[in-house]
Amino acid sequence: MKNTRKRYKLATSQKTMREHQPKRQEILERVNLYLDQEMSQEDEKSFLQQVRQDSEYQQALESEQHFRNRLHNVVSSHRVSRDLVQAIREKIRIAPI
Amino acid sequence: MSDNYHQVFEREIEPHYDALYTCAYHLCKNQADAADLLQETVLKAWKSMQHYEQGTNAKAWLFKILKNTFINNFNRKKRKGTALDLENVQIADESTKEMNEEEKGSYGTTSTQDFTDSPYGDEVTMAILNLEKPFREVLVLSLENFKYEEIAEILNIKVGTVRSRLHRARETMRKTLKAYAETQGIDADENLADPEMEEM
Repeated sequence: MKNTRKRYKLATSQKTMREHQPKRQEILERVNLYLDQEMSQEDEKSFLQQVRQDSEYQQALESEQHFRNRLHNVVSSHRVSRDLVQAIREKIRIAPI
Repeated sequence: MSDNYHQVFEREIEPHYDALYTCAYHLCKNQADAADLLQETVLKAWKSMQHYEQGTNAKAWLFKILKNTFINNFNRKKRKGTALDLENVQIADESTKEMNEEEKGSYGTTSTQDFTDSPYGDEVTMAILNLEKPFREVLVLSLENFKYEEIAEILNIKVGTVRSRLHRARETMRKTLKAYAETQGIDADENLADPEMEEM
Protein backbone atom coordinates (compact mmCIF):
# COMPACT_ATOMS: atom_id res chain seq x y z
CA MET A 1 0.00 0.00 0.00
CA LYS A 2 2.81 2.34 1.03
CA ASN A 3 4.78 1.47 -2.11
CA THR A 4 1.78 2.02 -4.31
CA ARG A 5 1.25 5.45 -2.79
CA LYS A 6 4.95 6.26 -3.30
CA ARG A 7 4.81 5.13 -6.94
CA TYR A 8 1.65 7.20 -7.46
CA LYS A 9 3.30 10.24 -5.91
CA LEU A 10 6.41 9.82 -8.09
CA ALA A 11 4.36 9.34 -11.23
CA THR A 12 2.32 12.43 -10.40
CA SER A 13 5.38 14.58 -9.82
CA GLN A 14 6.98 13.34 -13.05
CA LYS A 15 3.76 14.11 -14.89
CA THR A 16 3.74 17.61 -13.40
CA MET A 17 7.34 18.12 -14.46
CA ARG A 18 6.57 16.90 -17.97
CA GLU A 19 3.61 19.26 -18.16
CA HIS A 20 5.59 22.14 -16.68
CA GLN A 21 8.64 21.77 -18.95
CA PRO A 22 6.96 22.62 -22.26
CA LYS A 23 5.30 25.66 -20.67
CA ARG A 24 8.65 26.91 -19.33
CA GLN A 25 10.21 26.26 -22.73
CA GLU A 26 7.41 28.08 -24.47
CA ILE A 27 7.68 31.03 -22.11
CA LEU A 28 11.43 31.28 -22.61
CA GLU A 29 11.04 31.06 -26.37
CA ARG A 30 8.46 33.86 -26.40
CA VAL A 31 10.52 35.99 -24.01
CA ASN A 32 13.55 35.63 -26.28
CA LEU A 33 11.57 36.51 -29.40
CA TYR A 34 10.16 39.57 -27.63
CA LEU A 35 13.53 40.80 -26.35
CA ASP A 36 15.17 40.07 -29.70
CA GLN A 37 12.44 42.20 -31.30
CA GLU A 38 11.53 39.37 -33.61
CA MET A 39 7.79 39.31 -32.80
CA SER A 40 5.08 40.65 -35.03
CA GLN A 41 3.10 43.56 -33.58
CA GLU A 42 0.16 41.30 -32.94
CA ASP A 43 2.24 38.65 -31.15
CA GLU A 44 3.94 41.34 -29.13
CA LYS A 45 0.62 42.69 -27.98
CA SER A 46 -0.63 39.28 -26.91
CA PHE A 47 2.71 38.51 -25.24
CA LEU A 48 2.58 41.70 -23.15
CA GLN A 49 -0.96 40.92 -22.15
CA GLN A 50 0.19 37.47 -21.03
CA VAL A 51 2.99 39.07 -19.02
CA ARG A 52 0.48 41.22 -17.18
CA GLN A 53 -1.70 38.24 -16.37
CA ASP A 54 0.79 35.48 -15.67
CA SER A 55 3.45 35.84 -12.97
CA GLU A 56 5.55 33.08 -14.54
CA TYR A 57 5.80 35.14 -17.72
CA GLN A 58 6.58 38.25 -15.71
CA GLN A 59 9.36 36.54 -13.76
CA ALA A 60 10.86 35.00 -16.88
CA LEU A 61 10.87 38.36 -18.65
CA GLU A 62 12.49 40.18 -15.73
CA SER A 63 15.10 37.49 -15.23
CA GLU A 64 16.01 37.40 -18.92
CA GLN A 65 16.16 41.20 -19.07
CA HIS A 66 18.55 41.35 -16.11
CA PHE A 67 20.70 38.62 -17.58
CA ARG A 68 20.96 40.43 -20.92
CA ASN A 69 21.65 43.79 -19.32
CA ARG A 70 24.53 42.23 -17.46
CA LEU A 71 25.96 40.76 -20.67
CA HIS A 72 25.39 43.99 -22.54
CA ASN A 73 27.15 46.08 -19.90
CA VAL A 74 30.26 43.95 -20.19
CA VAL A 75 30.29 43.62 -23.95
CA SER A 76 29.56 47.27 -24.66
CA SER A 77 32.34 48.45 -22.38
CA HIS A 78 34.99 47.89 -25.06
CA ARG A 79 36.18 51.18 -26.52
CA VAL A 80 38.65 51.89 -29.30
CA SER A 81 41.45 54.17 -28.13
CA ARG A 82 41.93 57.58 -29.73
CA ASP A 83 45.42 56.52 -30.81
CA LEU A 84 44.01 53.59 -32.72
CA VAL A 85 41.35 55.74 -34.39
CA GLN A 86 44.10 58.20 -35.37
CA ALA A 87 46.33 55.43 -36.70
CA ILE A 88 43.47 54.15 -38.85
CA ARG A 89 42.77 57.65 -40.17
CA GLU A 90 46.43 58.00 -41.13
CA LYS A 91 46.39 54.69 -43.00
CA ILE A 92 43.21 55.64 -44.83
CA ARG A 93 44.58 59.04 -45.74
CA ILE A 94 47.43 57.49 -47.71
CA ALA A 95 45.60 54.40 -48.96
CA PRO A 96 44.17 54.55 -52.47
CA ILE A 97 40.58 53.51 -52.99
CA MET B 1 35.82 62.36 -55.16
CA SER B 2 38.17 60.97 -52.51
CA ASP B 3 37.24 63.91 -50.23
CA ASN B 4 33.63 62.91 -50.54
CA TYR B 5 34.51 59.32 -49.62
CA HIS B 6 36.40 60.61 -46.57
CA GLN B 7 33.31 62.46 -45.39
CA VAL B 8 31.05 59.46 -45.93
CA PHE B 9 33.56 57.26 -44.14
CA GLU B 10 33.74 59.55 -41.15
CA ARG B 11 29.98 59.89 -40.94
CA GLU B 12 28.85 56.32 -41.62
CA ILE B 13 31.77 54.01 -40.88
CA GLU B 14 33.72 55.49 -37.95
CA PRO B 15 30.77 55.38 -35.51
CA HIS B 16 30.93 51.57 -35.69
CA TYR B 17 34.56 51.19 -34.59
CA ASP B 18 33.70 50.37 -30.96
CA ALA B 19 31.21 47.71 -31.99
CA LEU B 20 33.65 46.24 -34.52
CA TYR B 21 36.45 46.23 -31.96
CA THR B 22 34.22 44.54 -29.39
CA CYS B 23 33.36 41.80 -31.84
CA ALA B 24 37.00 41.49 -32.92
CA TYR B 25 38.07 41.15 -29.29
CA HIS B 26 35.58 38.35 -28.72
CA LEU B 27 36.76 36.56 -31.84
CA CYS B 28 40.51 36.98 -31.29
CA LYS B 29 40.44 36.89 -27.49
CA ASN B 30 43.22 39.43 -27.13
CA GLN B 31 43.50 43.19 -27.64
CA ALA B 32 46.49 43.27 -29.98
CA ASP B 33 44.93 40.90 -32.53
CA ALA B 34 41.59 42.67 -32.14
CA ALA B 35 43.21 46.02 -32.97
CA ASP B 36 44.91 44.48 -36.03
CA LEU B 37 41.65 42.91 -37.15
CA LEU B 38 39.81 46.21 -36.76
CA GLN B 39 42.45 48.07 -38.80
CA GLU B 40 42.44 45.48 -41.54
CA THR B 41 38.63 45.45 -41.67
CA VAL B 42 38.41 49.22 -41.89
CA LEU B 43 41.07 49.40 -44.60
CA LYS B 44 39.21 46.79 -46.64
CA ALA B 45 36.02 48.77 -46.20
CA TRP B 46 37.83 51.91 -47.35
CA LYS B 47 39.14 50.17 -50.45
CA SER B 48 35.60 49.01 -51.25
CA MET B 49 34.02 52.41 -50.73
CA GLN B 50 33.01 52.72 -54.37
CA HIS B 51 30.74 49.70 -53.85
CA TYR B 52 29.19 51.07 -50.70
CA GLU B 53 25.80 52.70 -51.04
CA GLN B 54 25.34 55.61 -48.67
CA GLY B 55 22.57 55.23 -46.15
CA THR B 56 22.44 51.43 -46.38
CA ASN B 57 23.21 49.13 -43.45
CA ALA B 58 26.86 50.07 -42.94
CA LYS B 59 27.12 48.16 -39.69
CA ALA B 60 26.05 44.82 -41.20
CA TRP B 61 28.37 45.44 -44.19
CA LEU B 62 31.32 46.12 -41.87
CA PHE B 63 30.63 43.10 -39.69
CA LYS B 64 30.57 40.90 -42.76
CA ILE B 65 33.97 42.24 -43.83
CA LEU B 66 35.27 41.69 -40.29
CA LYS B 67 34.03 38.11 -40.21
CA ASN B 68 35.60 37.31 -43.61
CA THR B 69 38.86 39.01 -42.66
CA PHE B 70 39.01 36.99 -39.47
CA ILE B 71 38.48 33.75 -41.39
CA ASN B 72 41.11 34.65 -44.02
CA ASN B 73 43.64 35.54 -41.33
CA PHE B 74 42.91 32.34 -39.48
CA ASN B 75 43.39 30.25 -42.62
CA ARG B 76 46.60 32.12 -43.44
CA LYS B 77 47.97 31.46 -39.96
CA LYS B 78 46.95 27.84 -40.25
CA ARG B 79 48.86 27.47 -43.51
CA LYS B 80 51.91 29.05 -41.90
CA GLY B 81 51.63 26.57 -39.06
CA THR B 82 51.00 29.11 -36.31
CA ALA B 83 50.21 27.41 -33.03
CA LEU B 84 46.49 26.92 -33.04
CA ASP B 85 45.16 24.32 -30.73
CA LEU B 86 42.78 22.45 -32.99
CA GLU B 87 42.85 19.36 -30.84
CA ASN B 88 40.57 21.04 -28.36
CA VAL B 89 37.89 21.72 -30.91
CA GLN B 90 34.66 20.10 -29.92
CA ILE B 91 31.63 19.64 -32.08
CA ALA B 92 29.01 20.83 -29.67
CA ASP B 93 25.65 19.97 -31.12
CA GLU B 94 23.66 19.54 -34.26
CA SER B 95 23.82 23.21 -35.07
CA THR B 96 27.59 23.16 -35.31
CA LYS B 97 27.32 20.32 -37.82
CA GLU B 98 25.41 22.71 -40.03
CA MET B 99 28.44 24.97 -40.31
CA ASN B 100 29.82 25.43 -43.76
CA GLU B 101 33.42 24.56 -44.60
CA GLU B 102 34.59 28.13 -44.25
CA GLU B 103 33.30 28.32 -40.72
CA LYS B 104 34.77 24.98 -39.78
CA GLY B 105 38.12 26.37 -40.82
CA SER B 106 37.78 29.21 -38.37
CA TYR B 107 36.69 27.07 -35.50
CA GLY B 108 39.95 26.71 -33.73
CA THR B 109 39.86 29.32 -30.97
CA THR B 110 39.41 27.47 -27.74
CA SER B 111 39.23 27.87 -24.05
CA THR B 112 42.90 27.02 -23.73
CA GLN B 113 43.94 30.44 -25.01
CA ASP B 114 45.47 33.03 -22.80
CA PHE B 115 42.97 35.41 -21.27
CA THR B 116 45.49 37.34 -19.21
CA ASP B 117 45.11 40.48 -21.28
CA SER B 118 41.36 40.61 -20.81
CA PRO B 119 40.81 44.21 -19.70
CA TYR B 120 37.81 43.33 -17.60
CA GLY B 121 38.79 39.97 -16.18
CA ASP B 122 35.39 39.33 -14.76
CA GLU B 123 33.37 36.20 -14.96
CA VAL B 124 31.06 37.44 -17.73
CA THR B 125 33.90 38.22 -20.13
CA MET B 126 35.54 34.90 -19.32
CA ALA B 127 32.28 33.04 -19.87
CA ILE B 128 31.79 34.71 -23.26
CA LEU B 129 35.36 34.02 -24.33
CA ASN B 130 35.01 30.41 -23.23
CA LEU B 131 32.05 29.81 -25.52
CA GLU B 132 32.89 27.93 -28.67
CA LYS B 133 33.25 30.28 -31.61
CA PRO B 134 29.96 29.55 -33.45
CA PHE B 135 28.05 30.32 -30.26
CA ARG B 136 30.26 33.22 -29.23
CA GLU B 137 29.83 35.04 -32.52
CA VAL B 138 26.03 34.84 -32.62
CA LEU B 139 25.87 36.00 -29.01
CA VAL B 140 28.15 38.96 -29.59
CA LEU B 141 26.26 39.96 -32.75
CA SER B 142 22.95 39.71 -30.90
CA LEU B 143 24.36 42.00 -28.22
CA GLU B 144 25.04 44.47 -31.02
CA ASN B 145 21.29 44.40 -31.65
CA PHE B 146 21.47 42.70 -35.03
CA LYS B 147 18.28 40.94 -36.09
CA TYR B 148 18.30 37.18 -36.69
CA GLU B 149 18.24 37.76 -40.43
CA GLU B 150 21.18 40.14 -40.31
CA ILE B 151 23.22 37.73 -38.19
CA ALA B 152 22.41 34.96 -40.67
CA GLU B 153 23.56 37.19 -43.52
CA ILE B 154 26.79 38.22 -41.78
CA LEU B 155 27.72 34.68 -40.79
CA ASN B 156 26.35 33.05 -43.92
CA ILE B 157 24.16 30.62 -41.99
CA LYS B 158 20.42 29.94 -41.81
CA VAL B 159 18.09 31.97 -39.59
CA GLY B 160 17.08 28.75 -37.82
CA THR B 161 20.73 28.08 -37.03
CA VAL B 162 21.08 31.59 -35.62
CA ARG B 163 18.16 30.93 -33.30
CA SER B 164 19.38 27.55 -32.11
CA ARG B 165 22.94 28.77 -31.55
CA LEU B 166 21.72 31.84 -29.73
CA HIS B 167 19.54 29.72 -27.49
CA ARG B 168 22.44 27.38 -26.80
CA ALA B 169 24.87 30.27 -26.16
CA ARG B 170 22.56 31.92 -23.65
CA GLU B 171 21.88 28.65 -21.88
CA THR B 172 25.61 27.95 -21.60
CA MET B 173 26.23 31.46 -20.29
CA ARG B 174 23.52 31.10 -17.69
CA LYS B 175 24.87 27.74 -16.52
CA THR B 176 28.47 28.95 -16.44
CA LEU B 177 27.64 32.09 -14.49
CA LYS B 178 25.40 30.18 -12.11
CA ALA B 179 28.16 27.65 -11.45
CA TYR B 180 30.63 30.49 -10.91
CA ALA B 181 28.25 32.20 -8.49
CA GLU B 182 27.87 28.99 -6.53
CA THR B 183 31.63 28.51 -6.18
CA GLN B 184 31.88 32.07 -4.88
CA GLY B 185 29.00 31.58 -2.46
CA ILE B 186 26.99 34.27 -4.26
CA ASP B 187 23.28 34.09 -4.85
CA ALA B 188 23.11 33.06 -8.51
CA ASP B 189 20.05 35.16 -9.30
CA GLU B 190 21.63 38.21 -7.77
CA ASN B 191 24.87 37.53 -9.63
CA LEU B 192 23.03 37.53 -12.93
CA ALA B 193 21.01 40.58 -12.07
CA ASP B 194 21.49 43.94 -13.64
CA PRO B 195 23.90 45.97 -11.47
CA GLU B 196 21.78 49.10 -12.00
CA MET B 197 18.78 47.27 -10.61
CA GLU B 198 20.82 46.04 -7.67
CA GLU B 199 21.62 49.60 -6.70
CA MET B 200 17.96 50.51 -6.52
